[in-house]
Formats: sequence, structure tokens, C-alpha cells
Amino acid sequence: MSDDSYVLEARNVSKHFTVRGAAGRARVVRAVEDASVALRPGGVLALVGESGSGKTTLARLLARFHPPTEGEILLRGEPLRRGRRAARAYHAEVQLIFQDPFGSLNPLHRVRYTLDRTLRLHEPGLDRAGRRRRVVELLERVSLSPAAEVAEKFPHELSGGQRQRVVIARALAVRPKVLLGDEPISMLDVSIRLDMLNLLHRLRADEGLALLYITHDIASARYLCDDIAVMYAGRMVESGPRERLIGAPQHPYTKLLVESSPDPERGAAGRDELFGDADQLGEPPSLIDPPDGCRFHPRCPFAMAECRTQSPPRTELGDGHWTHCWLHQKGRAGELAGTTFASAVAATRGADGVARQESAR
Amino acid sequence: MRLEFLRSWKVITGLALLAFFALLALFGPWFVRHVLGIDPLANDISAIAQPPSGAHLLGTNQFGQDVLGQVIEGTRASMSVGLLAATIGTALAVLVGVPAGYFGGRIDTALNFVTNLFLVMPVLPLILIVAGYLRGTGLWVIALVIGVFGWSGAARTLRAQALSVSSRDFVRAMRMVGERSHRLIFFEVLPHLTGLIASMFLHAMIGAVLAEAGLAFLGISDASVVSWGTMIQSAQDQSAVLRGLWWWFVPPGLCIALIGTAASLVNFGMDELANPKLRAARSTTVRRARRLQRTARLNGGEAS
Repeated sequence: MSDDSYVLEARNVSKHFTVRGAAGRARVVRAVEDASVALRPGGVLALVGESGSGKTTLARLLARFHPPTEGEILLRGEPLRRGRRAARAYHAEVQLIFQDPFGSLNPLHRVRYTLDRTLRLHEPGLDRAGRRRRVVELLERVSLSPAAEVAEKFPHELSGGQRQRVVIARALAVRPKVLLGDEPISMLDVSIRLDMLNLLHRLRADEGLALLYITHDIASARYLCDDIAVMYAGRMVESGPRERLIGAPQHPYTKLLVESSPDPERGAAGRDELFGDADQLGEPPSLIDPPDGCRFHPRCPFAMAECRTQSPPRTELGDGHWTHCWLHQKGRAGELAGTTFASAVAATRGADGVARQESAR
Repeated sequence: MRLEFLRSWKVITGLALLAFFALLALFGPWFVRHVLGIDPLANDISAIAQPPSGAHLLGTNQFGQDVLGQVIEGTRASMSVGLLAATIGTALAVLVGVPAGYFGGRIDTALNFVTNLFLVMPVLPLILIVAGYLRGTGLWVIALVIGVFGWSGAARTLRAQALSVSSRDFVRAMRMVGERSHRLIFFEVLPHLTGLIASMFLHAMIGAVLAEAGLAFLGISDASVVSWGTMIQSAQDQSAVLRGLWWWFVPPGLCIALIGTAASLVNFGMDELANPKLRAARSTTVRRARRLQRTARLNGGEAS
């Protein structure tokens, strides 16, 4: 597929935040480094990673909340222009859905007010009655009924799921081309998450919306998305079509993620085998002082000398599937499929232990 | 839910007192002249510096003027200075503090600089100088001066609150939808500050009534208008304290104190609603809770 079929693209963007400690010493947090994502109309890309992996920062870069430190963002192939007018035009096409539906609606305004203001700004031609009709239409599109009644409610009179629907309705009132969902279901009850995913699915199927779906839950990503991109400690580690990526992860971190996602079909039998050593799986590194080389190497059971010094180049695996891992450069990719992450960790621990004992002798 | 604050006795008492003085300010002068039949400015030479009596309920002053009539007449001047100064002061505080908190950056630096400037300025001497410079000090000028020099503290507080509200997601979301800054400030952020602004307004009003009295005491006032401040000032002029003419200066002083109490009561009541921790327990409730605790302990002892 050619480049201009993408509606929104981030090319090698980085975002560094400067934080000042109590002593006034400035330190740089490398929240996102060299990340690229591309969204096409009607396509859903999932951005998966644990807390602090930079996925929310990347979404906020795409929503223009912060300018990227490096790299560029392209809307329909054109780089972003600066200025308030350009931002307004941009936001007419790209809308972000916040994680917290309790915080993203003003508690002092009725649902009607919120939607009505948005319509006033984006469809100035509509008269009062027209806007009333559109409000009902929007609420019905996000399956809130009876719409006329919901419109008169304050946010505190709605449940979390209903609020998130209102938030989506507000984003739709803009008639955007791209929706960025920043963990849109993580604060909802489990029982209504599926409804929300189905709503998002319907929106992209019916309207050809491009959707970036940010989550830490690889199971919901698998349900909703076409492609999945995995982030770790601010870097993209792997990206590809969902079945290929989940069925045969080509990066040790993806493997860890896939194996640690709860799968009802697996049952309790495989638990010990998979997670017997779960406490040894490690934690993500500090973004102020990230490890050299591949950022995953301190936790990686397959780590080699290169991993500690040089960051791995991109390996194309065909069909839009790529990864940043030295295993592929060194011809060790086969090892990934033969084992589970936890047992590989256990194996290296054992080997390390033996090595340590020998060196102590 | 919005009217919940009317359930607190502090708020009710405070509002009732304020309403009483507001009525006095509105209808007092008419009431004095047509119902009581007193002209507060008329000099009754046959009754000079008389203590309270049937003819003059609160006595008369050195000039033979009826003190009750003057107190009621003075309500209007004092209240209107208070209201006007508080309105000006609060409006300035909102206009400076909220944008500073909302925009941040350079606008914040500039507005905050102005706020700090007014915060550290010695206000009273400045008011004296300005008032002296403006000469012919009418009530409006005094109110203006009090308001213009008394907004900075409130602006600081509002700035801090606006800063916190502006960084919340719903403001970001509406900005992303394309809402303009002035709409965001006045329709998204400001409604969250109304409670704070209302209590600031009351606070500013007490301050302004006191400041008016203080300025009048120092001789900066409109001599042709009766206000509580001018009453106290002329009592001071005629050394009423030394001569024991307490009925001359106590009533206006008491009125000022009452207005202060009323506004404070409303504020306290509002605070308690916003922060239930401040609610003092009623003695009956405390006693009942203790008794329950004791019986529970006794029962527990028997059981074991």
C-alpha cells in the first residue's frame, strides 16, 4: 500500500520532557523515542504496552497537546503547520477520547450543552431545531437511548459507560476522520467493555474512521484491531497484523505480553508452567536513565552482547510485520518459538547461577 | 442539591442579617422620614447630646441629630460603598487571576507580576495619598479606591484554583473540539469557581465597609453624606468617648460588626458544606455517641 493512503502518520517522533527536581536540577524524561505509527481510513491500529511505555504520550503528540521534540506528524501526507488556526483545522479531523470518562465531561453542564456547543462550532449553518435533531441523532449513534432524555442529564447522573458514549458522541459531532482512543475502556466495568468495543468497531466500519486504540490489554486489541504495535519504555518494539503478531510474536517483550494476558481458554493448568517465576520477570526501566542498547535487555532472557550496547535496527518480516530485535539480525529468531518467556527466564537464571558459582570458585 | 447550603443555621442567620441590612439600605431613608418622622440631618437644639429616651430612642449627638435616624440613614452609604468596592475588587480579581491561571506562560508572568505588585504595596498609605489627590471625595470615589487597591489577594487564590481546573480533561476536551479561550474561561472554568468567588465577594464586602469606616475616621469621606464611618468620625471629633456619649458611636460600630459577623457566618457555613471535616459536632450528638460506645463496651464485656 502506498504512503498517501494513510490519513494520519507519525514518523520517527520523539518526545522528551524536562523535569526539575527539588534542587532545581533539570533531568530529561525520554517518554517516546523514535516511534512511528500510521493510520489508514477504516483501519484500527492498537498500541499496546504497559504503564509508562509512552503510549499515552504518543497519543497526546498525535492530538497536538505537545509538539514532538523530534520527528514529524503528517495529516494526509502534509506536515503539521503551527498556529492556532492550523490546530483548529487539525482538530476538526483528529479527536482524542480520554481514558477517564469522569474527568472529560464538565460536571456542571448538561449533555445537551456539551454537544450543542460542539455542533455550533462545527456546523454553524444549523439552526436551533437542527442542532436539537443532531444531538438526538448523535446520542442514538452511540446507542444512548432514550436520547432526548439523556441529553437533559448531568454527567453525574450517567454511568461510566454512558459518559464514555457521550464523550464519543462529542468527538463524532466534529465529524473527524481519525479517532485516538487513549485506553477508552480501561475505566469501565468489565461487563460493558465489549459493548464499547463493538461501538468502536461499528464506527470504523460504517464511517471509515481511522482508529488508534491504545490499551494495555492485548486481548481487547486482538478483538478490535487489524494491526498491533507494541511499545516498551518509549520505543516501538514490534508491529504487524494482529494474528501474526499474537500467534507468533517476534520480539521477546511481545512474547511476554501475549503470554501474560489472561486467556480463559487456557484454564488453570498452564498457570504454574507459565507464571511460576512471575516475580522474576522484572519491571520497566526508568525513562530518565534508560538502559543502553535495546531497552528491554535487562529483562530479556535472550540478551546478547550487542543488545547491551547498540539499539537493534528494524527487521522487516514481510506483510507489514516488523520488529526491533537483535535475535533476527543474528539468526537466532527460531529460539523464540520454541519456548515460553518464563521458562527462558528460568533457564538463564539457572545458567547464571551456575556461571556465578563457577566464577566464585 | 444546589440549595443545600440553606440548611446550615450559620448560612441562614448570616443571610438573614445581610438581607435585613440590605432592606435597611434600600428603604431606610424613606422609613426614617415617613414612618418614624425623623430628619436625620435636622439639628434639634433643645436636645443636644441626650442619652436614649422616649423621644430619641438612641439619643442624640452633639449637634442635636437623632442617632437612630443617622444609623438607619447611614446604612445606605456604608452598604453601597461595601457592595460597589466588593464588586470592583472581585471583578478585578476574576479578570486578573483566572486568565493568569488558565493561560499560564507569559500571560501568567505578566498578570502575576501586577498581582504581586498590588500585594506588596502598602495599601492604606496609598489610599490616603490617592484619596487626598482626588479631593472632593464622593462615596463612589472612595468605593473605587477601596476596590482598586483590594483585589490582589483574591486574584492569587483564583489563579491557583483556575490553574488546577484548567488542567482537567474536560477543559482540554472542549479546547480540542474547537472552543475558544474566552468561552473556555467563562463557561468551563469559571463556573467551578463560583463558590470561591461568592465567599470572596462577601469577604471583600466586610473589608470595604471596614475600610470606608476607617477612611472616614481618618477624615477621608464625603461630609455631606451620613455613613457609619462619618458618624464614628464625628463622634471621635467631638471626643464622644471621653465624654461618655456611648450611644453616639456604639450603634454604628455595632452595625459594622454585625455585617462582618453576617458575612463571616455565611462563609463559615459554606466552608463546612464544602469540607465536612470543619463541622463541629453538636454536644448532644457527642454525648449520645459516647453513651452508645459505653453500652457497647459493657455488652462486649458480658459476652466474653
